[in-house]
Amino acid sequence: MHDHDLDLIAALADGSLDDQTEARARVESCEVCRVEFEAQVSVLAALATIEPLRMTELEKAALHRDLWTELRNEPANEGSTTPWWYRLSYAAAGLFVVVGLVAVANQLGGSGDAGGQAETFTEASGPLGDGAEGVAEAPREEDGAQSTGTTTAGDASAETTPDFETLAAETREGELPAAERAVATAGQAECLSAAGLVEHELKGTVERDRTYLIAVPAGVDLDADTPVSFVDADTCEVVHVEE
Amino acid sequence: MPGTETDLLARVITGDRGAFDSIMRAQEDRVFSVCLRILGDRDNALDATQETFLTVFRKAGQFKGDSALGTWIYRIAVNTCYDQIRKSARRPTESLPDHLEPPDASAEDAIDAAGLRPEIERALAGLPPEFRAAVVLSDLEGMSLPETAHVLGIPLGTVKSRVFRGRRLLAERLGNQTAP
Repeated sequence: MHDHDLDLIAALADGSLDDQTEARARVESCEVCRVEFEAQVSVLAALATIEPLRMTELEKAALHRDLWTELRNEPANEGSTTPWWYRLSYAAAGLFVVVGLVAVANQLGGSGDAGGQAETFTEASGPLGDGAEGVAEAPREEDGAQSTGTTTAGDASAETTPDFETLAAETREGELPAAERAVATAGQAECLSAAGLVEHELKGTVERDRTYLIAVPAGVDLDADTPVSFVDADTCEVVHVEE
Repeated sequence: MPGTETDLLARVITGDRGAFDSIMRAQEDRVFSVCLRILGDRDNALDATQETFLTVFRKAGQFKGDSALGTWIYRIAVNTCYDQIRKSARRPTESLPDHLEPPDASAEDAIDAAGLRPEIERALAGLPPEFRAAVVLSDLEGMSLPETAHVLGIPLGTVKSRVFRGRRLLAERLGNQTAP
């Protein structure tokens, strides 16, 4: 048989031929062709009995959770087309922070007048607008002790981070004290999706240094194996996630 | 490409997580199905599904729109699976009987009810990867031959040959159950 014959037989078997005349004639006139055709038909019939493969809801929840956890730690995707002027504004803000820090360091090395430092810093931030001011505020708060503001902000939150593992265990066991819980709002439920915890439901909130949302896989009864995640209610960022 | 897909992908490029979530929900079952059929192992298929969507997110800006978005995603999925096969440096069919089924009883009941399915799944998993992928996309996922060729990145004639020979091998492996 030629390749053309094989193509005809395969197409006749799966019903993709518009005109079956030539293929039918070939199958009827050639014993080998007929056997091939019947084998193809029988395999297609067998394949049709296979059930579709689907993920379970738990697998989907885990997929979404892991995927968003991974993506959250990434910069903007490769295809991002951030305008040049927007990138320039970042550079300008960064340059401003450096200049501001140098100015603060110079002031500290001179009179040591803290009020004057802050005032000078605030004045210098004016022309760059609100965004730049936001970036410049962190060094002012940390009193010039660090080279960047974000480090201090992170350290400060780390110092007061709740013990999420214990909170998760208490949630699983239904032992989270009622006094530490607050009623969740509809807006907070949307926060879970924004945090990437799709296929999750809001189990409640817990008040610590700030409000945290308690998320568990949707439709799952709490037991010892239920993964419990926590989301910062203000930023909608996941702060603790369990496998 | 349908307008909704264009809009969604444009939003993904700007970092819209909701748009990406919509794309993922629309395609995840089929991507997982393709990966599981090609890899023959549930855990590996879940890993490949996750890796596929990570790649989709990262390379959203590289989508040229010369095919349906789904076709582009399946091509990424197939390449991801091929990468896994190459990395594992062994045939994935060895672990099939233990890992194809999901780990919950109701799904196992469904598999039992399917009758011939385990034999067919094993026969399918025993095909060489390139034949298996062609048969999976064409005969199980219902893609046209040109679409299958696009997803696999091979000429149409090669796809036709692989589908035909893949079915023939399946007939031989299934023996009296399906062969004439």
